[in-house]
Amino acid sequence: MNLIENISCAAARTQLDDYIAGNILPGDRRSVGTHLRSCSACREIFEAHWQMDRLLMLLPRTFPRETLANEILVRVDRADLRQRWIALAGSVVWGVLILWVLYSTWLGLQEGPLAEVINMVMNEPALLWRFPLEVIGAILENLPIFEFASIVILVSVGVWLLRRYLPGNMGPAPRSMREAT
Amino acid sequence: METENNLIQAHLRGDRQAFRELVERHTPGIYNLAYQYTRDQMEAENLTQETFLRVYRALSRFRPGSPFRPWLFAIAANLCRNWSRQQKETSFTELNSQGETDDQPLPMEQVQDLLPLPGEILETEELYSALQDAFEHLPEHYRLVVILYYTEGLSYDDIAQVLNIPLNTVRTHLRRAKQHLRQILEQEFGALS
Repeated sequence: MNLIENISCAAARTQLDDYIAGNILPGDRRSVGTHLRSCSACREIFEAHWQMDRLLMLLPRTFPRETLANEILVRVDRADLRQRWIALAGSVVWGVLILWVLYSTWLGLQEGPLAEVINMVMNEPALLWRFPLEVIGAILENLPIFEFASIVILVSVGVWLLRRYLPGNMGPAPRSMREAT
Repeated sequence: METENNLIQAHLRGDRQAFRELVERHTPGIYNLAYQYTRDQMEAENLTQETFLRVYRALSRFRPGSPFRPWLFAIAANLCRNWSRQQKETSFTELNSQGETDDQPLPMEQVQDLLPLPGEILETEELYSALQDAFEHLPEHYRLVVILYYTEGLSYDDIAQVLNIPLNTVRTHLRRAKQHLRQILEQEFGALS
């Protein structure tokens, strides 16, 4: 192993690109520089790297048509509009479903055992704040589980849809760089 | 000039002009990346459009204060790689042709055998086009790093973020890309050897 200025050829060579790019600490830069001045083999490699670096800087940068940015904005607007229509249609459908379930639940309440609880509360509204937990418990106890679950699911999906498609918050998005890649 | 973060905040407040500004500012860079990668104007335009469409959808979740450009390029690079994958699925032609062996890069010692490029050729049109041809033969992951570093001027750190690879891998990719290019150029330019 050829050691010049406390730096081996192998170590110097691994730092050549950083040396060329200037991404190197001053101390390391000095060591690599000194090594290159003293080691013809490494200097030859350095020159090859340096030339390829200069050559790559010649890589032409291509520019888009002038109208491309406008076309992008038009496409974004269209997609935005489409998403909003989808969101609106989705919200209407879910809204109707929720109303339907609520209505059928209400019909069930009119005739079912929960009607008593409702009547009690209607006659004595103070019960609502005096014994809220008891009232909620009574409602939950009497509400058919299927309808209760349906309401919870429908409301959750509706909220999720609105959050997803509300203006400025379209579609799924990467939360982080890792997710984006 | 407004910073990207200010523009994003303005966009999220409903300022449509802010997103326009972001698109106009970054379309050339994204297009360049897509074009250098695909070598096809139509594909590059499509990828550029798709990138901004995704950016539009994702902006509300962009973390304020974090650098915008690497994030933007990460989306574009991801789309480029997806495009490449689709190309491979639909066509049997490997982009990485001529028996390139990505996993077996040249050992550093072999570089010694590569002669420096003659200075007089550097200015010729011939070398210019040869460089572009050689560039097309680079393995994809090297090509992305080279584009981001040399034509877009991203730092090693930013490239590592964009491609979600360690910093040292960026260095390695760049070094190997140069070795590959040199090899290819030498094959085309007999005079070099």
